[in-house]
Amino acid sequence: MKRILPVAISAVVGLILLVDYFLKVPALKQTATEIQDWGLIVAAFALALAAVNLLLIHGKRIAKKDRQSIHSFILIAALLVTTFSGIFIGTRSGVFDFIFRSVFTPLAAVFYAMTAFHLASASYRAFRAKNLQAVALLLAGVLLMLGRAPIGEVIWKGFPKIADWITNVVNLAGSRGILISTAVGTVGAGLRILAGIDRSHLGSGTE
Amino acid sequence: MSADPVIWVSSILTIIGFSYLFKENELYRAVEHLYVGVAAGYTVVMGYTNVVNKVWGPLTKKGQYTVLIPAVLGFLLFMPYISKSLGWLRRLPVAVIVAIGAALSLRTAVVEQFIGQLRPAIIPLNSINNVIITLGTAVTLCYFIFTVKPNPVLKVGVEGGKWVIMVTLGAAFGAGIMGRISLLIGRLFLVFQDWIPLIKKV
Amino acid sequence: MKTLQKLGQIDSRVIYALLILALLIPLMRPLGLPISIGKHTQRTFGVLDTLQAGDKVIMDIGYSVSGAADVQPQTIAVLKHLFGKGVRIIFVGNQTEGPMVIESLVKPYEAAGKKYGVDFCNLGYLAGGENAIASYCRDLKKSYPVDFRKNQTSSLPILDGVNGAKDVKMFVFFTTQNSDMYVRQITQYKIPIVGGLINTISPQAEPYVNAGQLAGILVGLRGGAEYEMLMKAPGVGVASMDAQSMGHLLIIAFIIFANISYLATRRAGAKGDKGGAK
Repeated sequence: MKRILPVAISAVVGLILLVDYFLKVPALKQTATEIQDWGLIVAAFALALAAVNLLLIHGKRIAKKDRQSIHSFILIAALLVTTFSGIFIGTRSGVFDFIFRSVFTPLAAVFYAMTAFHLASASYRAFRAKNLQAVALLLAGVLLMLGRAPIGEVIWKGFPKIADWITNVVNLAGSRGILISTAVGTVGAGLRILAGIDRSHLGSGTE
Repeated sequence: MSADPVIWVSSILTIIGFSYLFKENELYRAVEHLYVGVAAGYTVVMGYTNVVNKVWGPLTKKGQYTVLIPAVLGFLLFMPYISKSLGWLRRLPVAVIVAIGAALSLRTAVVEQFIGQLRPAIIPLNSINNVIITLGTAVTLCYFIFTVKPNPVLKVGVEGGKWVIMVTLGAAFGAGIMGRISLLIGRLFLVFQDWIPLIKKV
Repeated sequence: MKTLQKLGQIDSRVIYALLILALLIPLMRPLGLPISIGKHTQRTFGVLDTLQAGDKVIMDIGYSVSGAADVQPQTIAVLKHLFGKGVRIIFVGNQTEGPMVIESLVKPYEAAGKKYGVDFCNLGYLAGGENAIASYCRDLKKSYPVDFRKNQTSSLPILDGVNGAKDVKMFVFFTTQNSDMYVRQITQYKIPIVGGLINTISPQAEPYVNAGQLAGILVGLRGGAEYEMLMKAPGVGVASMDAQSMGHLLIIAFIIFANISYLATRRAGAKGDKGGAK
């Protein structure tokens, strides 16, 4: 029951959506639309999962009063303040807007921008051309960077043309091949999920 | 210097965030936890807004009781936190979401990605570029054939595919570096233009 | 040779400091490097320029704030173009941050006289990813019964006669994720789709542009700078290009130095083996 019911639900839902799309059965259209709308509502509930998990984990740390509990306190306080200001004061309120613009936005940008430094460090330490194919990879990347930056065109007018050729010819061929292969893979993976062959999303079964 | 408290707070947090690059420190860890808390709280607010608009509103204003079905399914996502013995019920809404996602991408991938890309791949071989594009696509596809034992022709295709994929990955690598540099420039504008005006505004 | 080998072991913090300087100095002292307009931007500008006053478009602000530095200059330039032409924009958000970003983007236009509900509206974030795109393209008002400002969408004049994607002139999206889900779900409505992409995912969108599934794309910060040039309104994009150039040159220099050092180390290792063998 614990295994069969979710697999059966997957199969029925998937079948309805596929039959509606490919065979255009009028009787199923309303049901297919309704199921998709239900998916939106379930996805909305899923947004709170991370917060619940964080509350439980960091709540336990605060209760244990270990070394990291001050950070856990900061996390939970930030979570609760943001949630309450958004829900009870409003998403267009000054408080929520302040939190979004002065905390969320800059910190999200910082953590992503840090990868620029890691990339610079990796360029210096790890991007070694150990064989001809690695040379091809590095060369393509370097030529693209030179072609796309204004300085490249100043150094030599040919760099943008080479960058365009790499992007619009070789990259096009490779990306198209990867895209077609991905499409085949998507179909295969989708059918395996809907047929219940792939059940990795349903957990280990130890609950 | 700016008098806007938003600029001050965001600039100071930015500098603390970047301090990790020089040495991990307690202030950085505090800011890291602050971000995770705010991000999680923000996501809850958006989820709450969606639930109010798509469940509470239709239920109370239009009497649409069918919205209770996905609402119950959504609630079942939290069962593992409520009861260990009923925790398996979480699989039901997960099965629904995954099935919808799989079916949606499956049905459109066939038309838009498979046929939609095969058609433009068949082009007249009247220029070197067109020959490279057609051959390049073919050898890349050869590289991803894992179900057939490679014969000499396929082996040539696979080798050719490796080269095309290397150049494609090189293009992605170059684009990735460009993207990351842009993000860092954005942070420099915040600190050195908006906060401490060392960079002139355009 | 030993110097070259030592160069390969330089402290990371020196590399970080060099990168900051390489970007900061040209921002403070611009070099004024010329920016040519690429064919992607030219094409996208041409497609968006076909829109007329009163035309309605759906614009999906689907980028996260973490990647905004790469995509936002394009978004601002395109908004300037479309609002300047009198195009009416139905904003939706495919990322949780979408609605808040939209509010900040439309603020100056609302202050300048654009009317909410008539010239534009912010429908907010809809959870569900690709399913959300499929749903609002099929039935906009059912997917969004209430907008971000808590108005009933059935009461908004801009949504009169708009039931889904088939009732608008164009679909424009800005994303830090991927363009696949937009192509998969919107192509069936036979409207032009224009995308603003973060640099990282732009090479993967080339097949869609080549096949005509995407009418045009803008690529990263450079795309934003080029669009600003076409709009004759230089902004953050143009101001960033000199720094971007120096950043690229520095990374290329790092790659070259790293490989020279690697070759030197390999040669020294090979010579050492030969000496040992003797």
